[in-house]
Amino acid sequence: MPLILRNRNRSQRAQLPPQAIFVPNSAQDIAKSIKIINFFSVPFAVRSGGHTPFPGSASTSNGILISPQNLTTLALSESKDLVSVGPGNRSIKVYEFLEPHNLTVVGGRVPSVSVGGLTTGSGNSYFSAGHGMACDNVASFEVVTANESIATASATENKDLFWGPRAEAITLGLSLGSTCLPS
Amino acid sequence: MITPSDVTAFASDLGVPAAGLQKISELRATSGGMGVWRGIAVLILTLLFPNKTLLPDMAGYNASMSINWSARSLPVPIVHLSK
Repeated sequence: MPLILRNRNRSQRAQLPPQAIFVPNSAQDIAKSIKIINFFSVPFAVRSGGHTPFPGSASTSNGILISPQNLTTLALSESKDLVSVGPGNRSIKVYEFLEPHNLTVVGGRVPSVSVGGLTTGSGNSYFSAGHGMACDNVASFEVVTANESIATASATENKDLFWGPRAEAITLGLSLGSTCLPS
Repeated sequence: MITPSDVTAFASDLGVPAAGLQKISELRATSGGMGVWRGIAVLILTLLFPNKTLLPDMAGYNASMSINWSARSLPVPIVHLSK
């Protein structure tokens, strides 16, 4: 794994120097880190892509920063009506992945916007006028909760964890990825 | 309130090896204040995930921060657009 942080916060205002940056490779890695963070009550932040510009949005000056940049799953369902996307993916990667199928998603307007922050922070898209915000097009989230469990959240399963992130209550759980409806 | 034995048991449960437990014990003995738990949390992360945890004195981390500080030291450019 490259130990160079390819992604930094887009806005200098949002840059804070964390005590450590944790770059997990799996949901299990994140669950374990959350267990440690919980046990010691350490402040933490998550930076999917670091596009959000306000301080504290995607870093912490006195805690641990979790950077899911290596969680870059991209998979299209057989029926081609759902795409599973890891939170480390930039919008452009999703577009490039879907383009050969003549599909796209209600994704970020800026190609460098990452999926994790976009789908848990409403997510304005060029398609929003016709299809709603990016979060409105998420069918399910895979979430690590504060009790270190990994859950699937959808409109019918773990509903609070599904609706919470869409309302920017991202502290409910840490999104590991989302399944979106291609347009 | 976390006690030293709680920390040892917790780290052991997570799979921190004996040498790591010794390091935790040493850090706890030489550090004080609220920051000690944060330091131990970071230490446990580095012991469990040595290739996935960046610290301020590591190359990748410094690369990010040096870009940050360099940029901050520059004057903010003001661009005037005209016809």
